[in-house]
Amino acid sequence: MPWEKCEITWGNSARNLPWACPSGGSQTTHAMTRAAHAVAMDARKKLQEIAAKDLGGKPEDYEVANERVFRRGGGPGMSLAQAAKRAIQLGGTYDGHELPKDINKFTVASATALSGQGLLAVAKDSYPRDGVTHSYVATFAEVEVDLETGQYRIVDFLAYADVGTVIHPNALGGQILGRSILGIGHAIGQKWVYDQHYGLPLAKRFHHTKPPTILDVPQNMQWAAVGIPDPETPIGARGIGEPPVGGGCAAILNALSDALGDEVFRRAPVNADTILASLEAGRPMQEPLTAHI
Amino acid sequence: MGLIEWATSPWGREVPIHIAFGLLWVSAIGGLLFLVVHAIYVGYWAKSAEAHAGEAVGASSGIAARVPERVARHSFGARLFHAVMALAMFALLFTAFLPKVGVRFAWVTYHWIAGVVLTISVIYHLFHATFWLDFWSIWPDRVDIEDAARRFRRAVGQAAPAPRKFAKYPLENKLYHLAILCAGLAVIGTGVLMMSRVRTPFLARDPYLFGFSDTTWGWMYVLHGLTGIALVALIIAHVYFALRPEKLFITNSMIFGSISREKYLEHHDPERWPVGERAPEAGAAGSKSREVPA
Amino acid sequence: MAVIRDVMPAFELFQPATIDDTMRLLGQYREDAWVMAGGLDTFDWLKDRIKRPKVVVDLSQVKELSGIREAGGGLEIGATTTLTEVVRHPIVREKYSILSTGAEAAASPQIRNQGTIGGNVSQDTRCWYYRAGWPCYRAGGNTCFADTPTAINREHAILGADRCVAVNPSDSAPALIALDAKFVVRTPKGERVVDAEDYFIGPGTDITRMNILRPGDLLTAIRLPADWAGTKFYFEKVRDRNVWDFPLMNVASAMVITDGKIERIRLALNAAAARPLRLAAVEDAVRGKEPNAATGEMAGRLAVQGARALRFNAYKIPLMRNLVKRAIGGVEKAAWA
Repeated sequence: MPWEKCEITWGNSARNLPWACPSGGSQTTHAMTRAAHAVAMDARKKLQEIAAKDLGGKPEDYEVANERVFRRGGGPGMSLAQAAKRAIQLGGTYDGHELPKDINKFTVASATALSGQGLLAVAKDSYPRDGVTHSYVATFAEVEVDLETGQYRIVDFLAYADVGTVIHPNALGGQILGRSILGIGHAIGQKWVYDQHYGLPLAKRFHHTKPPTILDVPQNMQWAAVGIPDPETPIGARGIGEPPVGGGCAAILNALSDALGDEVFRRAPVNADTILASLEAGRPMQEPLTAHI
Repeated sequence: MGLIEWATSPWGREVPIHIAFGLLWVSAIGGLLFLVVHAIYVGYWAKSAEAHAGEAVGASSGIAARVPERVARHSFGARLFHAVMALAMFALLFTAFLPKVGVRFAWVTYHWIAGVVLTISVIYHLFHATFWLDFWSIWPDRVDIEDAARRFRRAVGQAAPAPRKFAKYPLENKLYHLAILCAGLAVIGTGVLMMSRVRTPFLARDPYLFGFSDTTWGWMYVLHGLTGIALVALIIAHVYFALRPEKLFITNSMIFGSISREKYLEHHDPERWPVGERAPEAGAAGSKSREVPA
Repeated sequence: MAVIRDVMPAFELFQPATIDDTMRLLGQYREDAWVMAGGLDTFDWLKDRIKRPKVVVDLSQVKELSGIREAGGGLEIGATTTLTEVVRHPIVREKYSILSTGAEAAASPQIRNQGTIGGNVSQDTRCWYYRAGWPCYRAGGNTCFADTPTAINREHAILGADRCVAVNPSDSAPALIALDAKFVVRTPKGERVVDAEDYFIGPGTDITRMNILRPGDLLTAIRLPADWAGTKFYFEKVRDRNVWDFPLMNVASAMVITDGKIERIRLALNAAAARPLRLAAVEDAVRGKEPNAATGEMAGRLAVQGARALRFNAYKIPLMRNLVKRAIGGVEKAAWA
């Protein structure tokens, strides 16, 4: 199906779109692709059934491709538009007048409102899943520390992700590197500061929280994905929202620890003050876990 | 012009911060005005009152004969204290107020060092005056009050018996001492606490050390400031009296330790301030001028 | 605490077109007037309601105050010349590159496009206790909240503290001191030209001001003399992130080296004290010596004498030592590089 013929409608209850799952927990790709897959299978099943009703044979004799549903191995077929028209004529489950019993009540409301306008695919994701679904990132960083100023540069950085099937490489790369930079920010600067006597915030301005800037990102920054489909989902894909944050932060801190020794810091962010003070004294100079100074 | 400057504390409360330093001028001008008024009073008005002074009871010649040529008034220790205290006080006032009138310099260190010197000298004085000097000689007594009333009645033209001569210290002297004592103790008390808020070798700087609230601290600064400017007026008056011709013998005694027999007999009542036969020579250091109790 | 933020308060705005008109306004409104150059710092103060001027005098229309011209063998930079103009000026880049480096180290490109050289050197301290509107000494109060046993003070002073422990945040100031720049100040009594290092004052002198400007005064220009043009420069700024950040410390030096020995040197450093420090004692100590690591080590140790750490800023002592060392002896290559 060419893109030009697709109408994409973003979440809009005025157009009777159903609720979707929220984006969160790094579960979005996994959850949405499964649900989309279930609905697509429902659409294909209905197309095959309509074709079999009109053109004879069994539904499984038909396949859907090239904007048509047609008999496998050559033979009669119909366009999707014709199938949709037939769906309205057939009614029942085909145009949404009859809905599966297991779907969410919001989906029921939505499908009811949209019924009778064409072939309506409605399905619940009832694919089996064993356990929970998580993605993993192995992150590698190389830092160069200036022992006289305490400043350091991240010279090399690689985040290797296990996200199942890669659906969209550019989007995945942006997600992995962008989230890695958030993690780098936690390692190299981001904080809030409170006065401990009055209990009032001191860092009130955006620049006080020191998010990383474009000049703070690693000089060489790469990503890669192993690309092994996840067997617990029919699509094979998983989400990768948050995991690079932890990886980015930990990789920088570990690289610094490797460069400076384990006794220099036990907190983040790590800046010139932490590094120089500890190197000068020959022992950790900041209370472990004392952040926000 | 307000008397006190206020600010908003970190917790959003209105708290006093310090006095309005314009009050310094009020105090300085007040001190100078007093000086001028007093000089005019003494120069013109008080002349007539002086005419009655001769009525005061004279000392018998027997007593006069016992009085040495120089009468010890201030021991070496007392004079040393006075000199140290005066130096510290001047240092404190100048370091406090010169920056306020536009002479900019890093004054805090000099100020607290002078403050420490003043504090130590005052502690010394407390012990010295309590255990070695005649402690009560500086406090106004019944006779002083009566005589003050007599003088006042005479000054306003009423009939009153002649006031007696002074004991060791004239009433003005005693009242001045009382005023300095109050102002000094307040300024020292607050100043010592305030030292926790600047860098000194004694304690790590900690404005929260005593657990006072921002408001308490604010009032402490106000009190310190008010007594500070009060001291400006008091010291203007003190210097003025020290330089007045008729009081110069007292000033001299604060430097050299003694007054002459004539001044003693003229101004002081030997019964209220008896001096022994073995009073030391003028200006002798290491004086034995312990007053003989009355 | 009901504090209205982020909405511009009411004030009377003046946009004079000449220095004379500006001086008249400043003379008329004195303490009530706020001089605004690029506006980068001004709006925070105003919107936070911490500074409440009745009158804002915007210098942006005063053409005489802006621009760089050759004068007296050197350069004269108008006070409202933007940092970007300073950074990009060909003669600055060629002969006074330490200034272009220093000015380019300030803030971010957007801020440098709007921020002025006069504003950069005259800006107030970034002490967050002071900027939070707390009644500290610098705000006319009776406390330094940044120098207490519980204070958060990694950015604060190790030298020159006098009750207040704030630091001067300017990146161009030390470069200007190293170049022996002269600051031209217009006062109600006339024009006054001061050495760069004397433009700044510490809390001991006046705890509420960062520089010599009094109400009614205006910084009009900064002159760069020819004496130090094209000498050997070193500038380094240490900060938490590589752009849009104030210095943890910066250092600037200009040296004339003859026969391998330091013949003349000017050395300045900022963010260690409430004013940019010219390290004259260090200059004296290294004159006639070779500009090498050993001289640098000695200079660094001398520079930090008397430095005193607060709760979280002890790192500034080795940092200052090392920056002074580098400013004289250069940067040593890492052993494995």
